[in-house]
Amino acid sequence: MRKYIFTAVIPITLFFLGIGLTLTEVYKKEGNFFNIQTAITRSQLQFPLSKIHAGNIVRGTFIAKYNNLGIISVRFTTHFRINEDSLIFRIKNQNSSTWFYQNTYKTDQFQPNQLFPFGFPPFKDSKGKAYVFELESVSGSEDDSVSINTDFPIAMALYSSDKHYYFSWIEQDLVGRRHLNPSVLKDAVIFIVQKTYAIFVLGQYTTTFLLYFTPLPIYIFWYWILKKQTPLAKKFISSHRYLSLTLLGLFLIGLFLIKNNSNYFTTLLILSWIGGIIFYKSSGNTTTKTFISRHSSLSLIAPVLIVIKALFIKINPDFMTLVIVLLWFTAISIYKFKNILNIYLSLIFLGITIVFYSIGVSIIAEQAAAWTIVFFGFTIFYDLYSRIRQNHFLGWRSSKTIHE
Amino acid sequence: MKNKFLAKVINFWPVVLIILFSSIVFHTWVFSFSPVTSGDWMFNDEINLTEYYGLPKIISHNGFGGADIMGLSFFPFNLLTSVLVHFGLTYSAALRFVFLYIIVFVGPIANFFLIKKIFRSNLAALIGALLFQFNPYFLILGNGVLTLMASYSFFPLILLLYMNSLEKNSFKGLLIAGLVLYVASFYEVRGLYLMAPILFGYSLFHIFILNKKDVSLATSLKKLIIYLTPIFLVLLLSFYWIFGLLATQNSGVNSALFNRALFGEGYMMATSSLAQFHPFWAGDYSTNFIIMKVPLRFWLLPLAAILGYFVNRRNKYVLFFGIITFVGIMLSKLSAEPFGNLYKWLFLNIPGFSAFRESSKFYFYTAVGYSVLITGFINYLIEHKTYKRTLITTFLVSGLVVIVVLNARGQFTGRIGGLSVARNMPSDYRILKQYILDQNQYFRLLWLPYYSRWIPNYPQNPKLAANALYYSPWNLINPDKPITVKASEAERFAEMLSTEQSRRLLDASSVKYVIIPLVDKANGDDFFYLFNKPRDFYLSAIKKISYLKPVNINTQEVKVYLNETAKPKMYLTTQPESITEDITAIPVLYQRLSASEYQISLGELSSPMYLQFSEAYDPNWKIFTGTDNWPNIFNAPPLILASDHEANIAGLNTYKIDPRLSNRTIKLYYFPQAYITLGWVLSLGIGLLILVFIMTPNSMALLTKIKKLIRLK
Repeated sequence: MRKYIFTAVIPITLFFLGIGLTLTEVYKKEGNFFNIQTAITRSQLQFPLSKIHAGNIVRGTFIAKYNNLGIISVRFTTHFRINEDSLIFRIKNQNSSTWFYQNTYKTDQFQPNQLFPFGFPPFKDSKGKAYVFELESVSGSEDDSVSINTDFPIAMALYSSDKHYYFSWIEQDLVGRRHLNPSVLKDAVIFIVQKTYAIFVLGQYTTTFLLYFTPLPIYIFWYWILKKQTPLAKKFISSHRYLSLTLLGLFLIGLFLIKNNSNYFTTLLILSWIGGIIFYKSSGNTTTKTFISRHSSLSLIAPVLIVIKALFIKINPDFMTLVIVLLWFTAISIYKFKNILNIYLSLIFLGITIVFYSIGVSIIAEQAAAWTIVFFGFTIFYDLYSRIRQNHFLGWRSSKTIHE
Repeated sequence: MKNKFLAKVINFWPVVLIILFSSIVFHTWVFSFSPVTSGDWMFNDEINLTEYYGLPKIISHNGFGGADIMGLSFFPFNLLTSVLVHFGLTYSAALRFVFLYIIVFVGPIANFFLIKKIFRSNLAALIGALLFQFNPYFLILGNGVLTLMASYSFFPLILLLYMNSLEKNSFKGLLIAGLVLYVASFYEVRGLYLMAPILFGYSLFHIFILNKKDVSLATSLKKLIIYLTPIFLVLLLSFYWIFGLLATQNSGVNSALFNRALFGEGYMMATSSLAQFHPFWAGDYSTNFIIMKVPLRFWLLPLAAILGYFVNRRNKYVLFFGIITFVGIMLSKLSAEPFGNLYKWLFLNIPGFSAFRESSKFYFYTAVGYSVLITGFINYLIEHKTYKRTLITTFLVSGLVVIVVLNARGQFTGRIGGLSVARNMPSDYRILKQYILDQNQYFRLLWLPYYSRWIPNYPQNPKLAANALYYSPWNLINPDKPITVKASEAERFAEMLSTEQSRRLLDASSVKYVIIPLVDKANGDDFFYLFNKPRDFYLSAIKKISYLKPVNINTQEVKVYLNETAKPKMYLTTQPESITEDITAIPVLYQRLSASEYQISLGELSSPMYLQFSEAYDPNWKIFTGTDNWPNIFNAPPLILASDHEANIAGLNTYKIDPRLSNRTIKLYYFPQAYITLGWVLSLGIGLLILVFIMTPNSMALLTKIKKLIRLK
């Protein structure tokens, strides 16, 4: 029974916890599960490539995929300033000669590089029909205007679906017998697929999903380690209690004070690193090189996670950066790395920065630049630390060899 | 002997090259005395500069007046400029000696010698000095904020003097470094704020890293205190404005600089900071708020800097410059990763840090650090010469020279704009200036919509801008002051002046003339586009304002309108000023002794009267008897109670005068000025003592003797 709890009940619970937390996050942000967004592609939009000046028009034409089309969101660049211009938004059925809805919006409320929603009374039977919308600048000038940001998705259409319709895939006839409604079922399945796509690709919940699922691999990882290495793990913790307490302290600070779901990722980092150290210590008198060659997959976990964090995870950065810096310090102390490694890492990240910056992927270039700075800083402060120890001022004598 | 001297001179060929290159690039500054003015750097003139003779004053004579701590801290360079003007130089010529030549020559030459102290190679030091001078941030700064740029230019010299003093254990050296640091601080206090941590850091570095001897904590602390002499000296020499800062705490006049919101998130990035690239730098000019992509060549800088650090990390100084570089990058990137909240935290929690509402000022640290680290890499390649390394050196040096030349080209061609362009004062403004000065009478000028840079703020004729007035508490016509769309902003300005109430406000504010400037694109003096209406709009709008009468002063385009009912600077009324009815002004005799002090002869008063004083309301303006002078004024009781001193409708001073003061001579005095004068006396005394001490040959021996005597006693 105990075995089933550890091998089945807990993992399955964690799996559903991941799903549940992700959906809760979606619900909190969107208000219900039955809104669905579809992307309006760049080819469906005509817009000025430069700033939207007075009289310029952005025009979009698309076919609605669902009923109840109620919002069109468009991604703008504000040029990081408060613009005073106003945009006139109007929308109509393509076949109609008059505009169905028109309103003026001040651009000072647009957030830089974010989608801005233009709401209107929903088109009830919008599915399959073509719609045209326009945005016209009232007084845009070179110094006071927004432009279209071409990041994907450039624009989105939002539909508020009828939940009663999707729940009617099993119908009850007049005599009370239940039977399947295949067309509704088909629509419901398509809706689920589209909604999943919208959540993970369009709605930017990918990171949330990944983070809420991290307890599962953490659990499996620890279950595996503890099962195999319990006495050694205990020994490690007792002989490295300050390190363990520091890491635990960091984890608790992150969990209770920072209150951000990225702590799950941080936790994964911390725990996997501790796991690595346990394995290393338990491997007897092996050198770092032999250890890495024997346990290559394990040795790679933490570096891979660091690279993932460095390049792709962009939330709650300060705490996570601090954790990584501390972990890196731990690694240097335990593995006795030479400081030259920091220079190499700094140069590698600088190389990544230059490459990604040159090809226009500035988000990754920014992340890589940040890590160039971190490792450059590490090099400097490690040198400083070494010099202070060398100089044994105030009676602070080094008992260990300095690693240049 | 001669040969040795000649060899030394030849050895300094890079200095000659630096002078030549800088002179060519900054040719409009070096080879001509034409006026330069742009952005916030307004044109000044010889007449206005006479205001700076004498003691430092806290009261500004600009606009509605009021205390100005920043202006007070600028006093020494204003005094210096006015002295040069006194000896016959024009303002534009004096500006060159006080600011421009310092920026052009002092920074790079001193940096050359600083680098030469660390590395041997002349070529490497030359490149380092040029990289320091011609980085995008300094070029942008040098064309707008001359005060800070001049302050930065002194830093290599300060650091060099400081490092030498610590190594030679020279107290006199520390005092000299302190005096130069004071000079840098009076150009811009923010410069001091940036330099002091480096000097403090270097003193710690010297004690704990460079000093190989075992030292106790007590000895270390003693040394640290002595090493911080330059910073203490600056504080002592700055008593006049520090006292002013403390004395005006109650009036909140210091909040303007320190209460500004953090600004620039979204512009500053880790990539730009790493590449020492200002985000608005378009190659040869600043785009102002349009983010530019870092050109590929700029990546050579961090690459060479990191490698420079790596190959020289056993050099005793390089670690310190590595730290400066790291701090510079970390702060200049503002809220970008890593540790994006660090700047915000410092901004909110570290006293004085809020003066840096945007982070580009910290490019200064990167400039200092990179110039040393990159030089280190070149020096290493030169010293460890192989065929391959020679190729790399050639490539690297060429690449860096290309960066320097491309950066400098905007300053050379004038495309960078700003102060790089020689300007000419339009003849209309010459006529207007003469017309104003000929009247020899106090009044204010209101410029619609904004003032031209060519007419200075004369103490007798301060200028106001409709744009600034509209959004200020002065604007009672549009009390809610809606932040309008730009298209209608111009209409609001005209509306603000259009009623009878507006006239009463202008009367109480001593606004005698309303002026519509000309569109002066050639001199960067066109601001009509900012408010989205052409000049013609204002010309037709002002015609509808009945109380403003056009005056023909023989200008071609500049239009002048007279407000006939404008009141003088000081006058009496029988009742408080009102916006709904006309209040008669009774003239009063007064004499302006300085910006902070007026002598007034009150006539016959049969009933309580109101003394109107046309300066921004400040409770520190006190009334004393006419014979109360400094320093007795510290103990003199004010004649008017604080409860009888209020702000009038225009936010200016009103005093309720008791008839018992009839026929008395009274003194209107800005009380914090008393502390400023005290501070100036102390600072001047300390400064003279220090100078005597430095110049006396055996002063150190004398000091030791005095110390011994004191101990014996």
